Amino acid sequence: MAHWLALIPKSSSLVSTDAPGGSQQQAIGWWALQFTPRVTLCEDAVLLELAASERLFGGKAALRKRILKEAEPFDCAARAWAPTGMGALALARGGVRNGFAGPLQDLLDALPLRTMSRVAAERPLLARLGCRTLGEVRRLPRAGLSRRCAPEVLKALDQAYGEETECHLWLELPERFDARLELPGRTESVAALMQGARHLLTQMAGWLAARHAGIRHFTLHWHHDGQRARAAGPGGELTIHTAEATRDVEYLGRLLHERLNRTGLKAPVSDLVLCAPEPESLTAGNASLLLEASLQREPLHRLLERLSARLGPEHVRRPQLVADHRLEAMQIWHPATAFQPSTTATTGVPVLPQPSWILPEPLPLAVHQEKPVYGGVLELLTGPHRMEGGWWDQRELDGRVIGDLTRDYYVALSPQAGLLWIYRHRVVRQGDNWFLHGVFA
Amino acid sequence: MNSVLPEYAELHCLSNFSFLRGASHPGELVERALKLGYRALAITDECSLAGVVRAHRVAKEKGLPLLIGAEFAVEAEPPFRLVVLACDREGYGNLSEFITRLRRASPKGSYRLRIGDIEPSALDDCLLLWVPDRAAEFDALSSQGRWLRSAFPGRAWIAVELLHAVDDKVWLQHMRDLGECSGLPLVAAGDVHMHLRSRRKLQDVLTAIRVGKPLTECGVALYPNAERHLRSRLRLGRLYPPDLLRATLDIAARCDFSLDELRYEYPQEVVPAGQTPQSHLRHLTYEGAKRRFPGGISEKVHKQIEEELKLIGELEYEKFFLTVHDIVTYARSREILCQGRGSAANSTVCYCLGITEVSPEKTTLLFGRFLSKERNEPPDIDVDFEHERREEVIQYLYDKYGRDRTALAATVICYRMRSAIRDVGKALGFDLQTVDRVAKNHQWWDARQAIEARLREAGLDPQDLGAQQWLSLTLQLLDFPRHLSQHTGGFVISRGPVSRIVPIENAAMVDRTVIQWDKDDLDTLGLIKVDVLALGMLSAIRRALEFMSQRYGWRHTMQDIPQDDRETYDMICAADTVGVFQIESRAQQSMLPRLQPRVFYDLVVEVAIVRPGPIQGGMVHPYLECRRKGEPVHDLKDELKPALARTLGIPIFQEQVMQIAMIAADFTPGEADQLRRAMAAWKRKGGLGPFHDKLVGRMKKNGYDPEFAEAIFRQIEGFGEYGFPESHAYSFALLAYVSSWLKRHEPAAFLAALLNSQPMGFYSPSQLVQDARRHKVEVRPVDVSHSDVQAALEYVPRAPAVRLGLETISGLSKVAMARIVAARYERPFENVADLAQRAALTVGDMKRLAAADALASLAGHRRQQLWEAAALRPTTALLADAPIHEQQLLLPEASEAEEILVDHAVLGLSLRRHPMALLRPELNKRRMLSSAQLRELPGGRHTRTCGIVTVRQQPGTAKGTIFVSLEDEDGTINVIVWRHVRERFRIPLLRSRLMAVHGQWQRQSGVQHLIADRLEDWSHLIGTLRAESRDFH
Repeated sequence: MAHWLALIPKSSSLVSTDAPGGSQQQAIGWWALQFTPRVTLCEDAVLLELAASERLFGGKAALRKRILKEAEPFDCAARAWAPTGMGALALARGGVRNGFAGPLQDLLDALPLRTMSRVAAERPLLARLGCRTLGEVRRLPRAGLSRRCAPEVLKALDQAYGEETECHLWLELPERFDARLELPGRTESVAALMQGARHLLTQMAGWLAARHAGIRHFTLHWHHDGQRARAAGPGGELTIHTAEATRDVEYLGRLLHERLNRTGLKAPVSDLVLCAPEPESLTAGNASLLLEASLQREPLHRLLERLSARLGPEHVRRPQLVADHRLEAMQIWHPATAFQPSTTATTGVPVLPQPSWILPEPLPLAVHQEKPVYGGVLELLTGPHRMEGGWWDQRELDGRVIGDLTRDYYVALSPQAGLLWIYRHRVVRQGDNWFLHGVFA
Repeated sequence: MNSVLPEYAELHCLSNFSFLRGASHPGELVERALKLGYRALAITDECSLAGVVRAHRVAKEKGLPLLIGAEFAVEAEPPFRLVVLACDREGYGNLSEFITRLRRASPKGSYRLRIGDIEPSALDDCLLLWVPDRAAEFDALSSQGRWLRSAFPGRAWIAVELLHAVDDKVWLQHMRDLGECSGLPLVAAGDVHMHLRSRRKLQDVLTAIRVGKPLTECGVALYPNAERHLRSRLRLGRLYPPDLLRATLDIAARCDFSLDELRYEYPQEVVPAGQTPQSHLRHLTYEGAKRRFPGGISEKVHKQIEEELKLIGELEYEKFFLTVHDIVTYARSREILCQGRGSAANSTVCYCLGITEVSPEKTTLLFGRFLSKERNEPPDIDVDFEHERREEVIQYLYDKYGRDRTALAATVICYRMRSAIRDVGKALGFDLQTVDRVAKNHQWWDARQAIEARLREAGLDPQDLGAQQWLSLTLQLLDFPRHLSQHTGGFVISRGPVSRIVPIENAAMVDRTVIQWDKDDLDTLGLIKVDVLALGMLSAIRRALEFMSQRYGWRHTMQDIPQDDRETYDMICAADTVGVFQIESRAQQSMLPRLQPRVFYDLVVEVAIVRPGPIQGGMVHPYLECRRKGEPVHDLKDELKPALARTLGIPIFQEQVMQIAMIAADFTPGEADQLRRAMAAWKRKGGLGPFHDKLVGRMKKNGYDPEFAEAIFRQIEGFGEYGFPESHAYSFALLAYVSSWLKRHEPAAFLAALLNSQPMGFYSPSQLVQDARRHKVEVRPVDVSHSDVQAALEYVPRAPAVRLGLETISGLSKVAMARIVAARYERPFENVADLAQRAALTVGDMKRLAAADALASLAGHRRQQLWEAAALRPTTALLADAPIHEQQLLLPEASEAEEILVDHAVLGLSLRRHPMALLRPELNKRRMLSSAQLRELPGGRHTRTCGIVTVRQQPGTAKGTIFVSLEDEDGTINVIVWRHVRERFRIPLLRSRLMAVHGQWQRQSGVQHLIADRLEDWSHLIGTLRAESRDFH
């Protein structure tokens, strides 16, 4: 007896243009080829016919157990075993896992119309005629039904019930991995692009699994789209190299993300292509993270990653400029390994003198005869520069909440400390009123 | 002290009509400028004059010289802002036309101005302030400056705006140099965006909403500080050199224009050659009078006409009347039913011209309410047209007068609670789910104070700083204008181009243009508009009259409806008014048995009394009491009798309240008029306060009971925007009577007419059909062998029955319907295949017909119909005509529940049993009473019932009470949910489709309702019905 498994991947919004279903489905299909050559992509599911492989894998039970275990990472939405492929698919959708638990006809008869897409397409008619289940549809006169419904309905029913042979187009494993993905919309954000790239990587990992192989390098191409594409050129590409052959999606994804972050996107991207030319058989990897001599040629980002891992991510940081009126909000420090936000607004910053150094925290100044003192009595050269804002900002930056500021800044000359950027509160408070905030170098 | 402060006029100031930029109302700016002792203030919104009338109103009242102008962002290298101020009427017209041109050339709400497009002569008689770009190079600025000087010699200034930036001093010197090399003088300006510094947070929020980002991401899109407010002269004196401040006064002095100068004339073409407007209006009036009074014109009417014509002549409003007459005549010529409403019904001339229907013979018209010399305000003529055909009238106006002379008034769309919560929440960076939750939770009945509770419900701590900001900014943002939309039908029509009076811009609707002012603005300036309104009931009445004409063989008009019909009033008194105009709502229905309208004037009172004014004034119960006793209030003073005798001493109508103000509180006609205006606007703007002391104080002084005085004032507040003048109530009562008569005497025609005029009114087709069937009207199902496209009357075997139209079937195309009817008129259909072939129907159409049970005459029960309809798959041409013989399949008939549910899904109504009838056995088990059982139940009993929720209503006057209407197989059950019950059962109240109610049954003088004390959601029972309906084997 034929022995079918239907696997239904979780639905995805990303659609690969080179495959009939989602890329996850393609990935599962390629992965499944390691168990049997009889794999097919059918609607939203992957169907496997396993009868011939049972012996190779140590019997039916052992094979089933192994497949289910190795399919775990795919996190499938539904699955079912059955004597027919279409039957297995219907049962999977109907939530019945074992199609061998009783006569197939009884199991199928009880399923609702939605479990077979050909039948579901005629649901408006069939439901109003009083049919609720596949069994009820089959009880309608065959000739009458064939006049009223698309011919595929009867054919699909017959195949599912095993009354007609199924014919499928078996999935073939391509020699080269070369997959294209259309993004759901044009994007300039690296994060959004990475979502698409990860799908392609998962797909590639499935392909590699079927070959029991890994890769040392792969290339991601992207195409620009939209008005700015003319200036930015047709697109770009990145080739990622690894020290050892691998098919670890997480690892490859992280490498790609980092590189993309540094490269940046010049224009909105519409689609992606991932190529992996030369699969290599996998060997056991070297998991050492110690600094070794070979790492001298290591690129900066790998170094940062390693340093962060050793020193703690909060101790290796990089700055980001922000267009803001508030001195303390003009730069933000991120952990170096954290991904940079995709848009960094640096335009529109007013062209005004900015101090070269700012104090981590404004320093209260002594006052002498109502004049602030810092290395001598200060002379106010120009100002006030009035700064009010931040009332909305409850974020913590460097452990402090900036909050609502109302300050009048001045450029002041100190007899000993040179040009200073000092302020006082617009509304005079008790106690300290003058503060040193920055120094012009 | 004052003498040492510099004099100043602010020349660059945006109001919140620069949408999402300005953070103060125009009136607030004017008042603040006055308080600061400014010599003048210019309102210069961005490419807009939308806020100037509001500023003008306050400025005129308080005595501040107001300059009219606008600001433009000019695309140039480098870009700059340009402020244009009107010097005189001519300059104002130029500015208005300039704005119109920019606005009309861009999509709604936007404009583009490139420096190359500025034609200097287009801005003649205007002064220009150039606001240079601070980031620009000096050379680029100086060439721009030279261009401005040569294009606008003696009319252009450099505006120096010092807003406390660190480089202010340098910039000022820079500008001095620029002035020298370009030859332009300098002037101080403030780039004002708000009246007070404290609006800064709101201004930041507006910026965030405009750029569409949370505040934390807005960065330098926000202003660095709050200096863009109206600053004190003391501070200005410290900031600016004296010559720059003096220049503001020179400019202000050169702008000598007031919006009061605007006048416009009605079109000339309504007067035929050889006639004067006076002679033509007189001619038409007397022509009409002959028609209205075939028995001859009485002395009284004649005198009234002459008086009116004299006044109209003195005020030169003839062409306005002729214009309205022209519109109405056009409608009549196309057989579009129309009727004037509002105060115009007080005019005999309007009656003779066919604009209104209130006869001067039958009632006392108060012409003074419509038009008076003292008031010197434009008359208000609103005309209702059949709702489906109003567009024809509008297109006629555009065709006749052209787009440059006709435009629709605007409606200013303002921030409401929900939109304010949403936009402020997003700006403050709350995540979208939280924003949605708070905004959605803000139900329509919640008072403003309830936001705090809503915040808590959404999982926020109202004491948290962010939540507090959300709360306070939301309240500040409320009522801020957001964009301009089109008024429901107020047209401005003029002799010359409208665009020289007010800018015109594109509306969202294709081919529609709106002016930048709304109806209050037009009122303020005394500009006339004609309201071309849509009224569904007029369509229904026209159709019912057509059915009658068809049935009896002669043409029926509204005038043919017999008056003072006893049976009609009996029906009205029993509150049997589903489908009738105005008196069909639940509130009206519960008033009818108490008020017992017996003559037409009672209906006029009925229409007006169930309104916020009389209700809040506490006038309802005293009036009913007096009616019951049949005598007026015992202590009615003689002096009030002329005003109140006709309503038994109780003020019901808006004009009665004004009369009281004049008689009892010594208001002059002018003051009374101010009161009326304030009354109309206070809901939106407030401002009734000052009248309180005046009215109540003087009434007390004149010996009136303080309680009575306070009640009158409450009534004034209640009138708000919804005050019904007597004449308006009269016009509406006419339609209420006509539709009641039709319901009583021609119920089938009335039902068919209502069904064919949907959507309209208070009740769904399903409810209308149920009500008609309870009144013994036979309603027949949709059927391809009998139905027309619309509902029709059938006269055999018993006359008349209503046959539902094919348009009841959802999803069936108009074309298919027309082909079915056409094919049937050739010869009746033989079978399903014949129908499909001759009417060229698709399988989809056929299935829809079968699903609607509309093939019953050809194919048996519904499943059988569907089986047959589905067999008609398109076949090859060769086989198309060859009949296929198939053995008859006998499908089991569907259950009744399934049939009913499919009826409702496909037709929106069912002629089978009510779904509640199917649930009845189950409900009996649970001891739920039906509406029929309730009607027999004595008052005061505790009981329970259950029904499908048809209406949830919270009138503003009800102090938190919700009125729920439940429907079952026998009729309607009215449920009253007091506030405390509402709070406890909020969720079942909101969510239930099927609701069970426990409570106390009340009945009082014919009015019955259930006072709820417990509500339960039983919607799942409908679900079981659905599930059962599928188990048919």
